[in-house]
Amino acid sequence: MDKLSFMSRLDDLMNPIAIKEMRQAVKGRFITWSLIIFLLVQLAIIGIVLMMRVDFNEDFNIGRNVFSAMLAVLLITCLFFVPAFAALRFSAERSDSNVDLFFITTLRPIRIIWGKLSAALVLTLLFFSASMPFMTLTYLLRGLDLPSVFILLALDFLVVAAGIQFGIFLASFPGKVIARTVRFLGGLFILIVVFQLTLVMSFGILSQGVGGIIGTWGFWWLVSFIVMVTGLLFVLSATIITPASANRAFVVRLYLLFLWLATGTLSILFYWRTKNDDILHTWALFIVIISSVNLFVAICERQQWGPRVARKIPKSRILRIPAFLLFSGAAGGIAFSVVMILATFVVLFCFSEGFRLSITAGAGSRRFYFWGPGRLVLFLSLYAFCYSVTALFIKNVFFRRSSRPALAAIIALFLLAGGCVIPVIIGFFVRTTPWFEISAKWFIGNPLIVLWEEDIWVDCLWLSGIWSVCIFAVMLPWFTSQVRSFKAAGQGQIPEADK
Amino acid sequence: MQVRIVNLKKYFGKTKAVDDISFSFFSGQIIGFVGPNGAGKTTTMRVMATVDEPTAGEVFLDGISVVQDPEKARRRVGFMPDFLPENRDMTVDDYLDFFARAFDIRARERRKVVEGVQRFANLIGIRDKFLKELSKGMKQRVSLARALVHNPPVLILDEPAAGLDPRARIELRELLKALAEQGKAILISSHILSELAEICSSSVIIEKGKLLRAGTIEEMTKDRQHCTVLIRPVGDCRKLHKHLLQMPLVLNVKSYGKGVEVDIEGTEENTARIIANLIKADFKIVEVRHLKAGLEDIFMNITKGELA
Repeated sequence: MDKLSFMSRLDDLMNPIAIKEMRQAVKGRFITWSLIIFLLVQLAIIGIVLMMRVDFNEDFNIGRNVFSAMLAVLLITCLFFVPAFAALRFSAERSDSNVDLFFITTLRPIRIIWGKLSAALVLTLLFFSASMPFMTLTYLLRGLDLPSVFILLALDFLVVAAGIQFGIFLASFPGKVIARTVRFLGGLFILIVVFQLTLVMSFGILSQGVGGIIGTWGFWWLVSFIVMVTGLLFVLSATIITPASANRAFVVRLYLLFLWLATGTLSILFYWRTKNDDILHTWALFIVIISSVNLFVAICERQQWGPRVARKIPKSRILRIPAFLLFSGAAGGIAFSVVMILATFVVLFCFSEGFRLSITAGAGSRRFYFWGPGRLVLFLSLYAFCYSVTALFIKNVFFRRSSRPALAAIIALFLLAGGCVIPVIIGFFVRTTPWFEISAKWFIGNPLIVLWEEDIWVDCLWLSGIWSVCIFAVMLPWFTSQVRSFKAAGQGQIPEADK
Repeated sequence: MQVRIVNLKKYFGKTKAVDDISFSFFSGQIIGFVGPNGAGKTTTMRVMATVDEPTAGEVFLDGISVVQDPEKARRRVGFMPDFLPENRDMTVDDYLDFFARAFDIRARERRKVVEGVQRFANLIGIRDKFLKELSKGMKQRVSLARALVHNPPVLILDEPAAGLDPRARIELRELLKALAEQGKAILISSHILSELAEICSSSVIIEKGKLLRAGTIEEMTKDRQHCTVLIRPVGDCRKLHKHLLQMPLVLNVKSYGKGVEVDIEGTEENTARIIANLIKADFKIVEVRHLKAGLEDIFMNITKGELA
């Protein structure tokens, strides 16, 4: 193969979006000016230290201190400017009228997001490599070792990648200027928090040395967590830009399944090594929060499968069961979340001794008293199910003709807000005690009350249990009809697209 | 290549933007897609270009359904929407190269393809200019070149002549004629009906989401019950005007500069009879011209200007 054909093949393999983004970045002024300012600041830091004529023989931490300052500048640049650059460009392309990227070409959404992310990562690498000569110089000033520098930079690069993906995720929502501004400010706030946490973590690793941390479970948990959250944001971004008519939930649910398996395996391994079941409870809480959010998203999904989805439904009855759970659709989405939550409880029951004892012991036992994490996991699941499915019921009965996809989630949020506030207001007016001694029972609509008021959990269990059973019974005919109509195009009637 | 639109419906809530329309066209044809604002033209075109999914119905591009196989269909259709490329830091060349890459055109052919469309759309001289520096006419040409990058057999052009100066319009018209001669099936919407009539082999008229009439201008006028004639006498035409109004078979008379425009009931034989009558009545006629019904007349007669 000659050099030219090798280059052509390499060129063909490159992501078109990444090339476009990088060309635009090179031709625009933003990145050029950011890089110049960044280099000047780095130079200034080194210059100031050298000009201050510090006694290098006495101050053994000078290298670490200078490195820390440079790291802060690098993080500010890469955690704020690069995500903002990527997000603002993407956001501008997400207007309703601009269909250039998403519909006119044959580019798939995952390829589009990967192109955006990889272009921003190349820019990040540019900043990281520009700071390398200065950071290497700090090694000569003493106070830090090279492995720590490289591992720390790798970890920070991972955090920056997550930050960029977060920016792209926020930009992938279409919307007007006000909505975009609110998202931008919200994202900025979160990135400020991430920046502070990263700085604290980096300084901690620098002072302790990387050797003591790299072998710990906590370190690898953190790395896995950052990678998985980045992956989740990546998948969600691709889903958001996928046309509504496509089977857009499929990739997300597949990823959630992978997330459940991967984080569950890691948690069980951790428990097996340490015999500490805190990690299992944290994992369960993490899964229940994700599943609850998925419930609120699922109720907004379509209740009739359009032709694009219907043609992909398997004809085999056995394959149709997992397909029902994984394909776009409100009923499948609710079932998927419920299965994930139930499976999480099964894992907890099998592996967490604390959980097993707490629910198998008799009513009179001291153990028959759900401890904090268990209560939270249980009640978050039940309340999320109740509020979301009730909202779907209300939407189906009273707003049947509405074409607003987010309506069910809005109703669910109103129900949640009403459930939290209305009983408290009633309690305030019918109370016989001073207002600050209002009974905890009036807060029963709020699932988080079990965290603060331990005595109320039995009442919460009654309320959410009966509510779940009732709403399940009411929605069962709808659910059955959804399962029955989940057929491949050509089997029976070809479904019409959503109206 | 045949493009078939079959019982297409697109509803937005209760609004029926497109309500059960069907028509078809073939390679080498330029079809004018005409209707008042809000008639459903853009919605139909967006469905055809796979941008939107229909509520019901189908669009087939050479047998490929845009509903079931949008990815395959996209390779067969070039869509020029009614807005222009706005990317700030991108040259014309980069822009077209990006779309060539996006359609998986291999590196060896890409340069040739991009240069080909640039030459066709007369963009060679401005290929290193940034998009933001271009005039509207130039951007329209870039947009057309973009739609042609993957050499699609079907072209869907939404208001391509909007806002163009006369010269740019003539250039665009020539480009479209050349594309039709290459065998492309072209659907074009425009408000400039006189121009559409010049280049289109057939037209489709829709209003309130419903198809009102489709076919060639001759087909659309064949069931017309009268013909219009321009008659110019020597000198003052007021006397002629008055005389014509008293004649049988004359439906309407309008003064038109130095002549009169007369609507005559029935076929051309009646017209001949009336002209003979005028000559017998000693009117000195210097010009008699049969006025064919244009797309504008048909459009005004058929549509009511109502929104969906």
